[in-house]
Amino acid sequence: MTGDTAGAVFAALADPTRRRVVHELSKDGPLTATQLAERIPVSRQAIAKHFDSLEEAGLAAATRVGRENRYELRTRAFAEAEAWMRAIGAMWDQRLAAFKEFVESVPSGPAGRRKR
Amino acid sequence: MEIPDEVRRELVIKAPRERVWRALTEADQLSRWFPDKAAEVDLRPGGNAVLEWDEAKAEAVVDVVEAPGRLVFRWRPEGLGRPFTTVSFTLEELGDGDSTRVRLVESGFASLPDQIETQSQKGNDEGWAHELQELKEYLEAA
Repeated sequence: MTGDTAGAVFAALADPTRRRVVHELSKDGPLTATQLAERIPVSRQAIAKHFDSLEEAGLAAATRVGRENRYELRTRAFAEAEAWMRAIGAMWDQRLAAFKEFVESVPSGPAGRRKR
Repeated sequence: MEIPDEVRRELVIKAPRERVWRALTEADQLSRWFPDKAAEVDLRPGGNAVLEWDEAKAEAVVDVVEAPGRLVFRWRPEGLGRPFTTVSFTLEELGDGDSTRVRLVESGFASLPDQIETQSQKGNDEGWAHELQELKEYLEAA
């Protein structure tokens, strides 16, 4: 897992339209820009531009079919970004375990409990 | 295909809520379990907090303080230079008050690049990747 990939993925997904594109492609992909523009209220040109960002982040790829590009998702970049989030989760698991251990190690009987 | 934009955790600590709150918000107690070096906390909305590990440091800005139930802060791990993700702790009293349910949510991972984009026109993907890498190193060092 590299931070570079995760970084590019999060940057690409920061935009709500691009998240929408990803959503549509994951549901019904591969789709052409025309098909995407029918589902998302932005122009075909705008879709193509957003798609470039997704492609740069390794999240999607285009295949030329006739006169149009067909867009589909690539899973690897998603997997890396997910792994990155899991690493952050694992760090919290450790911290919270230490939190619990610390708090529970201090006796808090009825007297201690009402102290403050 | 969705990437979670937040980390959620929940646990039950066998201690009264007030006690858990103090361990979470008082610098001398915080440094017993969170950073391994030092912690400074100005516990009020807008107040600053600093967490220091042997090899890393994080700056935070406190957003919400509702003792003893809710603490929200944004934090900026070293090198990021601006508010980063938002961390929210919610403490809920359980049963007769002997236990506390702790809910943690760290959110905003995917929204940060918006902030970066407004500051640097070009190469923001690269910049963000670099910063994420720093965060990752920082998290793993912590």
